[in-house]
Amino acid sequence: MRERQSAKLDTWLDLLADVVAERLAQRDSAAPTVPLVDGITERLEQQPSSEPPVALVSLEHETSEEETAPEEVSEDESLVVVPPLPYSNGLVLRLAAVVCVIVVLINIPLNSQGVALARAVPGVSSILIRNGLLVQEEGSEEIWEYYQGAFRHISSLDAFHAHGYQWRNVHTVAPGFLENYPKGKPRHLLMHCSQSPHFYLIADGKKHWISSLEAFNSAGFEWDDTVRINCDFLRNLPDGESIPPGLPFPEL
Amino acid sequence: MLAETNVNETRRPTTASHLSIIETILRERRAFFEQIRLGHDLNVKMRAMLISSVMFLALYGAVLGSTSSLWQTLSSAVKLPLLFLATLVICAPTLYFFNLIFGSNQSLSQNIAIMLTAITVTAVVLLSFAPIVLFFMLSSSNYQFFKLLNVGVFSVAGLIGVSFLNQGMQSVTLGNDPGVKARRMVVRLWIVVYAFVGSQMAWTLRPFIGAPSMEFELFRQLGGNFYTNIVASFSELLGFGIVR
Repeated sequence: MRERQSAKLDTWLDLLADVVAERLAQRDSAAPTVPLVDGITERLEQQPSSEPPVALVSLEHETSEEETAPEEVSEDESLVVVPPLPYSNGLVLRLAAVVCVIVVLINIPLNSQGVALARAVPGVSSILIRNGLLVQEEGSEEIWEYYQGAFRHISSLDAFHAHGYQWRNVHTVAPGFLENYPKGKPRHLLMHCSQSPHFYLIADGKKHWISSLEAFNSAGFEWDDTVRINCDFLRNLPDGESIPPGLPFPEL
Repeated sequence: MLAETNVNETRRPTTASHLSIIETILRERRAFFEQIRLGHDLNVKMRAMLISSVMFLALYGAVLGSTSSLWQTLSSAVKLPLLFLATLVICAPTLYFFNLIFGSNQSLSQNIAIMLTAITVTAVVLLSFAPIVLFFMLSSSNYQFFKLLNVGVFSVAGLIGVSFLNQGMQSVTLGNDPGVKARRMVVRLWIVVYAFVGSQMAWTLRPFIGAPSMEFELFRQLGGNFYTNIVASFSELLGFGIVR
């Protein structure tokens, strides 16, 4: 009795296997050919939705002579079973488009100063210490420039403007910030004109005559700080104290 | 097959079709590397990878530069693809000739195709990080943190990229000839060289983000190096010092 049932089951299974094999063969031959990337073709098997579809990538292709690799490929190697493609190829493109739109949006200026959303968050004290950095300690009026490993004081507003510094480049730092750094020679504004051999320190809107080379060197002035200007401009500046003090000013 | 070829010949590739190569690489890498090994449509593949990677790297570069200024945004969008392509151009001959020395029969195109695969994967991973980087850009303004965040992002993307390169080189060097082991070692050593050249190239082409204390500049003065700067950034972030 049991043997008869087993034989019957085998017969049913054989019939079922035949039907499945026949259907698979039909679907395989009727499957559409979809171009994947230029030159690569993909045959998708039409399978029930409950089962994951299997894609067969055909590698049978004509190749140009110069690009053909010397290795020979067998018939079996030319077919590689790959997992299905459940999503469209445009997913990456859509992500790129969204990021692109966001980048454009956050770069649109929001106010008359041109501040965009990307730069709207106030900056913190992260500053890069390098030549030309201008800092001002909070609560102090002094402005310092970092140059060759040390901070140097910019001695006057005249010097600040004459040497081409700009207020927007001055970074406010915490009080005591400069204590951690060595100090260099102060940055002054020194002027002279072509019709006179004399040099003047400009400070507080006045000219201060530097009486000699010794006075120049002992005051710690630098030749780089000198600016050549029109003598009339220099003549019109009010006289301040000479360096050293108490000496009469020469004719300009 | 003939009809199929005709269809492919008459169809002009669009940007979308170029970008479809990314999914092909990510989902069907074995088949993709197999085609590179066989030399199938190498030019088409390389063009598609070049276009996709340049697009994505430019986009990520724009994200980086947005923190500083509009000029920095544009500059970084140009410089980031340049960084990867210049590194590729510099390093490609080394890999190719060393492989030849150890008995490889691959063409230069095959080598470049595999390297472009690595760059494309790196670019896609970077793009996938873009929303996170944008989030931190809009919610935090610490320059050193942002810089280190991006070093981390680039490291992850680069590692994934070179792992693809390693797989690609292994796929195309399948076989039993005695040079296979040596060539695998060459690839691993080359990856180290590639990382060094890439980091130095990045240092040379900086800034990509733009320091908050500095005005826009296309290239910053030479000096220092990538590694000491990263260590200094870490120390500043942890409050041990200030980056000079």
